[in-house]
This record gives sequence, C-alpha cells and structure tokens, in this order.
Amino acid sequence: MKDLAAAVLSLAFIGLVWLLLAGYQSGSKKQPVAYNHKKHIALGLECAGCHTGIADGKARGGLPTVEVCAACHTSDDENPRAKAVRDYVSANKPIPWKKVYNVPTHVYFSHRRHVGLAKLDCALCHGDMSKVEAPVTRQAVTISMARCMGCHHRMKVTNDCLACHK
Amino acid sequence: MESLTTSRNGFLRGLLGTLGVFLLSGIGKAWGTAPGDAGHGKRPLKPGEHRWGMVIDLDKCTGCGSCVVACSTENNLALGNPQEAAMGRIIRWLKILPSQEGEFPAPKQRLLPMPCQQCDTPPCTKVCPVYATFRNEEGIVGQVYSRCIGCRYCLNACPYTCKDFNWKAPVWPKEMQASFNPDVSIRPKGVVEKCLFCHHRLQRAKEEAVAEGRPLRENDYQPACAEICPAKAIVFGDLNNNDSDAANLSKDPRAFHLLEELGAEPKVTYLKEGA
Ligand code: HEC
Ligand code: HEC
Ligand code: HEC
Ligand code: HEC
Ligand code: HEC
Repeated sequence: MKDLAAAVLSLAFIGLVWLLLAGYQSGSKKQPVAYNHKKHIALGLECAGCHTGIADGKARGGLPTVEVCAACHTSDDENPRAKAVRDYVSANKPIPWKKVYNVPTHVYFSHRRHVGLAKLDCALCHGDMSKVEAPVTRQAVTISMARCMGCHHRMKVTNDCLACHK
Repeated sequence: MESLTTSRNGFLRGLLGTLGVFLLSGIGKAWGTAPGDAGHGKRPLKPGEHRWGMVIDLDKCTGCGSCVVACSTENNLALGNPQEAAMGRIIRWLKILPSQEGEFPAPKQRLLPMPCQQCDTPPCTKVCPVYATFRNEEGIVGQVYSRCIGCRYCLNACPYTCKDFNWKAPVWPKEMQASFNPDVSIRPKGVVEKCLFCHHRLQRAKEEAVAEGRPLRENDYQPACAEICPAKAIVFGDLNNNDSDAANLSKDPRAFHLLEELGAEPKVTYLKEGA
C-alpha cells in the first residue's frame, strides 16, 4: 500500500518535472526583431554572410552582429517593418538575439568540423531556412543524441562517447 | 520511527524505479546505434589506428608538481579546502604519490606521479552498470559524466585509486570563474570523474589534421602534464607508432608497470630510477 502511494507520488513528481521541461523547451524564445529569413535569402544573401563565425567555428560567432544589418538598414531605408533594426543600428547597440539551437554544456559540437570541413548542408540540421518567414523561436530539427549518432553511423564517423562528451 | 523510515524507503524505491525507466527509455533510442559499431573518422583517421600511452621517467622526475597544477587547471578541477582534504575528498586526476624507504636518519623519499593508468583491460569499466565508463578504440578509458549514476563501483574497482567522486558540487573563488577551460565540462555533484589523457586536446588536434588534410602527427596531441613537465620526465605518444618516443621508451629495460601482477595492462609505463 505504502509502495503504491510512493509510486503514485513519484509518478506525479516526474510528470510535473516533465511538464516543466516541456514548457522550457517550447518556452517560445521571443526574438527582439521580427527577422525574416525568406526575404533576405531571396535577396541572394549567403548564410555565411550573416552567420559569419559558423564555418570556422568561432565561439559565439553564430548570430549576426548589428554591423551586418547596418550595411543595408541605414537611415535611407524607409521600410516601416525594419524600424526596429534601424533603431538598434542608429543606437549602435547589439541586438540581443536568443540562441535557439543549443547543446548541453557536456557536449562538444563544432560547426567548423561539420560545415567548414565536411561541407554538410545547413538544412540537414536546421531545416530549409529559405522558407522561414518568422523569427526562429524553436528548433526546426530537434538536436538529439540519437540524431547525431544516426548521421555518424550512416557517414561512418566515430560514435565514441568521448568524441561528443567532454 | 520505524514506519517513517520504511515509508521513506518505499518512496525512494518508487522514485528510483520510475527514474530508472525514464532514463532507460531516453537513452534506449541511442543504444540502437551505440558503441559496438563505432566506426572511426572516415578521413585520415582509421579504426584503432592509434593507441595512446605515456612513459614517466622516475629518474628525471623531480617531484616539482607542475604536472598536477597543469592538469588541474586544464581540466577545471576545484581547489578544495582543508576540511575536504582531511576527509580525503580532494580531487586530483594526477597525484604525486610519496613513499618512504628506510628510517631516520637515512630515509629515502620516492615521488611517483600518478595519472589514470589507462589500462588495456580496465577493472573499472567491467563493473559499470550503465556504460558510463569504457575503453575506447584508441585505448583511452572514458567517463561520460552525464551517463554516470554515481554508484562508485568503478571507484572501488580501480586498483590505482585513480577515480574520484564528486561529493559536492565544485566551487571556485570568484577570481577563477572567468578562466574555465571551455573544452572540459564542469562535473556536477554525484558523478565519478577521471583523467582522460586530455582527450579534448585530441579532438582539437584531429580537427586541425582534417583541416590541413593530413594524418595526425606525433606530438600533435600532448596532454597538459606532458606538455608542462620541465624535466621532460613525462613522454606521451602513440604506442602503435614504432618511431614514437613513447613506444620505444615503454620497451626500455628500466620499464615497469604499477601492480603489474593484477593484469590490468596499464598504458602508463614507469622507468625505474637509479638503475
Ligand atoms: C551537423 C549538424 C549541423 C549543421 C550541418 C549546421 N549546424 Fe548550426 N547548429 C548545430 C548545433 C548542434 C547547434 C548548437 C550548437 C551549440 O549549442 O554550441 C547549432 C547552432 C547554430 C546557430 C546558433 C548560434 C551558434 O553560434 O551556435 C546558428 C546561427 C547556426 N547553427 C547556423 C548554421 C548555419 C548557417 C549552418 C550552415 C552553414 C549550420 N548551422 C550547419 C548543428 C548544425
Ligand atoms: C543586403 C542587404 C540587407 C542586409 C545585410 C540585411 N537586410 Fe534586412 N532587409 C533588406 C531588404 C531589401 C528588406 C526588404 C525586403 C522586402 O520587403 O521584401 C529587408 C527587410 C528587413 C526586415 C523587415 C522584414 C519584413 O517582414 O518585411 C527586417 C526586420 C530586417 N530586414 C532585419 C534585418 C536584420 C536584423 C539584419 C541583420 C542581421 C538585416 N535585416 C540585414 C536588406 C538587408
Ligand atoms: C541577412 C542575414 C541572415 C542570413 C542571410 C541568414 N540568416 Fe540565419 N539568422 C539571422 C538572424 C538575424 C537570426 C536571429 C533571428 C532569428 O532567430 O530569426 C538568425 C537565426 C538563424 C538560426 C537560429 C539560430 C539560433 O540558435 O537561434 C539558424 C539555424 C539560421 N539562422 C540559419 C541560417 C541558414 C541555414 C541560412 C542560409 C540558408 C541563414 N540563416 C541565412 C540572419 C541571417
Ligand atoms: C555524435 C555525438 C554523440 C555521441 C557519439 C554520444 N553522445 Fe551522448 N549526447 C549527445 C548530445 C548532442 C546530447 C544532448 C542531447 C540529448 O540529450 O539528446 C547527449 C546526451 C547524452 C546523455 C543525456 C544527458 C542528459 O543530461 O540528459 C547521456 C546520458 C549520454 N549522452 C550518454 C552517452 C554515452 C554513454 C555515449 C557512448 C555510448 C554517448 N552519449 C555518445 C551526443 C553524443
Ligand atoms: C548530418 C550528419 C551529421 C550530424 C547530424 C552530426 N554529425 Fe558530427 N560529424 C559528421 C561528419 C560527416 C563528421 C566528420 C567530419 C570530418 O571528417 O571532418 C562528423 C564529425 C564529428 C565529430 C568529430 C569526430 C572525430 O572523428 O573525432 C564530433 C565530435 C561530432 N561530429 C559531433 C557531433 C554532435 C555532437 C552532433 C549532434 C549535435 C553531430 N556531430 C551531428 C556528420 C554529422
């Protein structure tokens, strides 16, 4: 009887944790500017033009700095929907983008290895960004160990725990 | 009193049981493709191409302790405090083991630097119930902290006392908190940790090798202790490479292994002093 009560109690506890975690996962990270990938990629811009640090794996180099936007969103730009960007540009303040794709701190991931060297397509891990009109608030392709290992298995790359876990 | 403890045990049992199922279902997905079929990096790196090992020349070692310091900063080891020291809970992946021969007035002090011996048949991995510790294809005995459940079987199985348990979450003085090594994670409370031959340096070296389109060279990869040793007493390299210093020195007539009779086949070789 006590065991039953204990089991029910612990299940309830785990359910609660689950809900909290799920809430955290989808916890729609609102982006500061209503950025539109589709429109910019349609202009012929390359991913690497904005995500400058990706191919050489610079730490925290992944999300664009305000200087990148400043090249086009100058005071001559009159697009009302881009006003938020111009405000950041004229104040020369960094845009506080929220990083949506994250690996836990105990995992080692290198864009340089995957993109710079192995020349993998961004879409394999981030979906087709040229169709994305809303700012990124959740992962289009969920990061999971099973996905990492699945691809490594297919491409005959090591699946040694030590390669990814630090 | 009696009923209190039993019900608490019941609760814990239930909790552990459900947690166990929870964990297993999570990792189950990954097990399908997991360790057995671990192919190795396709380009320059082939399976089992390397077998990493270390030689420590006790004749050259002065016991200065540089290796201990280098290891501790490289791997984000907490400093510890006197209370922990008194309980034997200071964590050092590389220790200097003192021993004394003879009595006063003519004692002879011996100092022996002791990293994980990186056994080829490691006693610690055999007892791990969750595959958190294992020997990888290049001979390094790994520990995945996120997988570790803190049962400490491995810690007890290790004849060289080269595994440490985190009795509490590590703490650092404020001044040190901006200088962690980002390539090594901070271990949480409740897991066992160990020397990995600075495996993260191997990852960096491999990435460099791929970038330059060449195989890994001898000396591309050196653990922090070998790099720092001012007396060059620590030699590290690929035991599969007949030209490497480590491979040659490990066949030196002065070579011996600690507790050789246990048959754990360590890949850390010592060179006898005064021989
Ligand atoms: C093999 C899978 C993979 C590929 C291919 C890939 N990424 Fe990523 N990306 C990730 C992972 C995993 C993260 C999370 C990294 C982290 O938390 O350090 C991430 C994070 C990011 C981020 C967040 C910011 C940052 O610095 O981490 C950006 C931006 C990004 N990727 C852009 C790209 C672009 C652009 C490409 C193609 C040039 C690309 N990625 C290719 C897996 C991939
Ligand atoms: C090569 C020039 C160029 C760069 C660089 C550039 N943009 Fe734009 N951006 C444009 C153009 C052109 C439009 C108008 C597109 C349209 O309306 O079809 C636009 C539109 C926008 C809009 C309005 C979106 C909408 O829904 O109409 C926002 C917001 C925006 N940009 C943000 C940014 C941010 C943030 C950056 C920096 C990371 C940036 N842009 C970099 C050229 C650029
Ligand atoms: C004009 C600049 C620009 C171009 C070109 C661009 N991006 Fe982005 N990207 C951004 C900005 C700004 C953000 C942050 C806002 C957001 O999340 O929508 C972002 C966010 C992302 C993220 C989410 C990162 C995270 O963790 O928050 C991914 C993934 C990404 N971009 C991939 C790509 C890929 C792949 C391409 C090329 C096909 C590309 N981007 C082209 C500006 C750009
Ligand atoms: C190809 C890279 C890769 C390999 C190989 C790999 N992992 Fe992972 N692992 C990850 C990533 C990424 C995550 C985080 C995402 C997730 O939880 O799915 C993770 C998460 C985990 C977690 C969950 C941690 C938590 O906090 O929930 C455990 C446990 C784990 N890995 C153990 C292992 C073990 C044991 C091995 C060796 C058999 C291994 N991993 C091999 C990439 C890898
Ligand atoms: C779409 C396929 C793909 C996915 C998904 C992928 N990888 Fe990889 N990964 C590769 C390839 C291909 C290489 C080999 C690159 C090379 O040869 O330089 C590689 C290499 C690596 C290496 C170096 C391995 C070595 O030989 O030492 C690590 C570490 C790694 N990946 C981690 C991850 C992690 C962590 C994830 C998940 C977050 C991940 N990978 C997801 C394709 C993938």
